[in-house]
Amino acid sequence: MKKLSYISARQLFTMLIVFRIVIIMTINSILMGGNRLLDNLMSCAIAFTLNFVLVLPIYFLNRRSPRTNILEKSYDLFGPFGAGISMFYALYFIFVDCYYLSFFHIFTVNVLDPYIPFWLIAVSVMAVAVYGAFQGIEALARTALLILVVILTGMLFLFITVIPRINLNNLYPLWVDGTDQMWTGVLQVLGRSTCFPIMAMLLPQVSGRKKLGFLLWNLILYLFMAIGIFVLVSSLGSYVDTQLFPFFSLASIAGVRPFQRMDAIFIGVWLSGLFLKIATDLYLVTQCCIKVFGQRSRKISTLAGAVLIAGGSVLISSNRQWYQQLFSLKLTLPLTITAALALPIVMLMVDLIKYRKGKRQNAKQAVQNDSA
Amino acid sequence: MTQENPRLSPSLLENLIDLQKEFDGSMDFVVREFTITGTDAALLTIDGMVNKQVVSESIMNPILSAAVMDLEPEQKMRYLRDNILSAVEQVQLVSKDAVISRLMNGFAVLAIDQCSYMLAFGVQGFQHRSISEPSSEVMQRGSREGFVEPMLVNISMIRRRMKTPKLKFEPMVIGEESQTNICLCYLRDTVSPELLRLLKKNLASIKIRTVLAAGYLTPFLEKPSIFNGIGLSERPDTVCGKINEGRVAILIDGTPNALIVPFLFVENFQSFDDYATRPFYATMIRWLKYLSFFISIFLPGMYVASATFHPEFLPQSLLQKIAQAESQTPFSIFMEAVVLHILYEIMREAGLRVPRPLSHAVSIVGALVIGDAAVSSGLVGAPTLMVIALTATASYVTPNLYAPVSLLRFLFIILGGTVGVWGMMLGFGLVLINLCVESIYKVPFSAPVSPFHWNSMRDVLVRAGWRTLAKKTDQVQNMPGSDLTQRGGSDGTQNPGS
Repeated sequence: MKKLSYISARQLFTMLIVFRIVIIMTINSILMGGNRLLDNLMSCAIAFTLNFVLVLPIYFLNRRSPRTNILEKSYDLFGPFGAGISMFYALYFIFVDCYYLSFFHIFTVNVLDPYIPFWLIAVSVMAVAVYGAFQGIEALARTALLILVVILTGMLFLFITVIPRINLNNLYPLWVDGTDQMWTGVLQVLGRSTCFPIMAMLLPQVSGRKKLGFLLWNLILYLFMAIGIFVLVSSLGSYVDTQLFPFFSLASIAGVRPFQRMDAIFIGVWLSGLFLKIATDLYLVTQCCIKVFGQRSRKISTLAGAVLIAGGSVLISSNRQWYQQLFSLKLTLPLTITAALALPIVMLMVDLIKYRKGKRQNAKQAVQNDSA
Repeated sequence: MTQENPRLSPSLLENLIDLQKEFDGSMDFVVREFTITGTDAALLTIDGMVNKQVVSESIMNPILSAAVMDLEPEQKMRYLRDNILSAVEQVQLVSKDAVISRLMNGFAVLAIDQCSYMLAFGVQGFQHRSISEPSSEVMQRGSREGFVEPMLVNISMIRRRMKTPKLKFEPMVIGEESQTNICLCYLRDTVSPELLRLLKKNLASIKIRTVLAAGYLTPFLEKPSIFNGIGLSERPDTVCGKINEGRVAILIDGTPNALIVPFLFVENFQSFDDYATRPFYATMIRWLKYLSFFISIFLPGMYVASATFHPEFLPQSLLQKIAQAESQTPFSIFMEAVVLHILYEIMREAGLRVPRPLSHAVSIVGALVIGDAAVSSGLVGAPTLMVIALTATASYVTPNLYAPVSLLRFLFIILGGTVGVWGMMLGFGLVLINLCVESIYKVPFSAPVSPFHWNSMRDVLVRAGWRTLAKKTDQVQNMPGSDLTQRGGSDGTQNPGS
């Protein structure tokens, strides 16, 4: 049997910060539910609180079986039917990566002059991601820290260069048009909470202070998002509501003397996080497939996952209706809630019921033995 | 010390015939035959490997002038060993392989007829280069001594700097034909036993006919990667510093370098001078090295990508200057960068290999042809030339990394020129993963940056003063993520399951 790789809680949550920053950078007014992006500041606060609830089933599941991940647990509880749960998670990660990669395509088509075809970008990203997935979770976790340094340095530089453009007159009172945007924002943020299924998969391989890690992760993430929204609105004004990629627009207008635009930083930050996210998901897809088809499917499942993600994202982004569906809450929210909340809750309950049943049977057995 | 079987024959004639057969009449195998009170004897040497004066004064003269009684051959040998030649370093040999090995290492071997063993005397006296300043690791402050080819001299240079009995030199022989002596050098109480065990196992499993340089061994000691996980140093002081941190040095006879195992990525940016200068200056130099590393890898690629696909990245005034220069040239910026990079590497290689008197001519031709004529004739633009020149200079700031940097620079020029900044970012990702995936003898190559270790940053992000550094030495086996002392997570934390 292959030796299980261990990573620390610090490394896991570093990875998760990178993954979320990549997707936070794609927020815009339309996705967040209207044309008052500032209302989403409260979405951050609500989502921050809700995350503590969302994580509970995974936390308790992990606490009951610290060295068993959700896939193994599903086999323990449901026997061969556990394969269905493994395949669900594999397809979920593939779906998430199609979502991320398609977003990148939309960005290249709408914002930059696409001088190379998207399929080539998709294939290149997947090639690097497959290499990363083959190297295993330890290598990806170590890479995450270096990428986080790149991302934070880039974002810090971006925010600093944009400070002179911040105009507090651009800010407006919250909830003037009601609280719809705020709630849509909350749902959008929750729909994009793809980190919970990753936690469900990886927590048993993690050592160290997980609770503290989660708290810091949650805090850093929503602080970053809140600061991002504040900077976007205060520096871009109403212009922010017309932009498909406000962070890119911000990068385009930012400039210090020698560097007039910071577009490169935006692309660099996004791409470096994107390939790491896809590589990690591919690794997890592989783990799901290994659980179902055995160790021999390792390489083939990674490659198949990569082909599906690349092909899926190219297909989806070539059809307007499809990608509108993909990016809508109707699809992402139920899927994420199922993967992050519903399945862990079901498993936790079944586990509890089985445990109590087993305990009762043991007690009955003990009484019978005593009377005998 | 007594050697193992196959044993020598008691007959001197048989032994000599056997040895002559082995050497097949090689001109440097010298057999000096004589008699000791009626018993046939011979002194065997390899010409050029022994000090002839010592042989004649310390071995032949005492034997020939000694009054040896007419005893049994074994008794005569014992008498010579204990009374006549006792001042010379001696080893008793009982097998042919041992005799050959000693002869090859500059020993003189005395054989007496009807005696079951031979005596080897340490009279090495081959010519070698004297100790001089290392050419590839020049330091402003610190010792001027560099390793030389004979291993014993190198051992003495290390021993002189670390006068502790805990310093151990462990010999090994590698190379089926070359039978090269190598020596593991470590501090007994500092090195990780697991590291030592793995290294010895790796060295013992090496199947190679000849070992003529350190580079022959490194591929057997590490997994293939862009960056080196095995260090190389010409300086005994550097080696002592590394040994002190729990590393193992491998000295190879005939090579003026020591291999250092394991060698982490951040060590490429540390030089001995850093520790001999004041901390604030050393810190600044270290950051300059980091900057130079990034410039030497990314600058040409970024320049090509920006000028070709993303002109918006460049300030308008700079862009105008580049456009003005490039409008005069027939090639694209990408082509110019590739060609200039290749030309530069050719000139560099020529400068290295050409006989020294001609190297000035090569430099002048290089400077004139590439530096001046190419621009004035309008073949290449001055900005491109400047970028390549700056990159080339920057790459010499970290000489250990020259080979990977040179390759990566080329890769990033191609990526930047064909796919733009996206391609470069993906290439960067690939390099990062490659850097992070490597573990050198169970120590992550990217440690202590990732997995991160705050205390180690005193010699990574900054070079702290000796008051701080002297408090605790960071042992390599205690790096975060190391599996040498504990079966830990890759952040150095103990696995709950272990």
